[in-house]
Amino acid sequence: MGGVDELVARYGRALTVYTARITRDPERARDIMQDTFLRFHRIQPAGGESDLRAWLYTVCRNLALDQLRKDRPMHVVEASPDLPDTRPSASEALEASEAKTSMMRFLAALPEPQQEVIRLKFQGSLSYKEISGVTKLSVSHVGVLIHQGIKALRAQMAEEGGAR
Amino acid sequence: MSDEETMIEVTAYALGELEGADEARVAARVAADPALLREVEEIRRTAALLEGELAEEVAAEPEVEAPVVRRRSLAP
Repeated sequence: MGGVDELVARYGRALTVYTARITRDPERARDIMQDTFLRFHRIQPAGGESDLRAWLYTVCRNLALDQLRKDRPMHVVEASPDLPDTRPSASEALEASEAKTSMMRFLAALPEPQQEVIRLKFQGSLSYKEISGVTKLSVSHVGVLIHQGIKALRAQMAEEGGAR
Repeated sequence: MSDEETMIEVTAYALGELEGADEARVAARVAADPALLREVEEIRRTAALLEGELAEEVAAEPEVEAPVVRRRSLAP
């Protein structure tokens, strides 16, 4: 495994994209990503590449959620310890629909927990077990969410294909 | 095991998440059932589409400036 620079080059952008979905603020997401790598540099966590990748996602997620707790009224965070619902509003969905592919639009419409685990799996290349470590969901729950998400995406893609 | 539980396991198998005896058991079941084999192929096709499109999203993100990390990490 290389040094911090190599890790930043390899994972920095994916971590920023992942974190921006939590913060809904790309600039803040970049700051959190930088902070995560500073912590990595300071702590030097042990492990192979997959361990380090999971560590980076875990720290980014925790820092982003900490930021949300600071920004939002306590009752919102306490009432919903999971990620905020990032599904787009009707106007946001309309705007996004012009720019994104069908798959990305359908993904954005999935319930937040399904979106998050799908992104960690297919964008972060994390295993079910690693996703469980990042999200604190059980491995079996991660499996259920990914199955449900893929099933929903397949159904929507098939429906769209049939409607053409 | 319910049909839904079977499909959750088939999804895990299709995505390479099973190991050892579990992987062998589901692999044998898939090999013997053309409908399950089609499911595995469709799941993998969807997974490949997702990976490709999510990779494009990452590629669209501006390059991260690693030197920022180095400079900040050396600050007192």
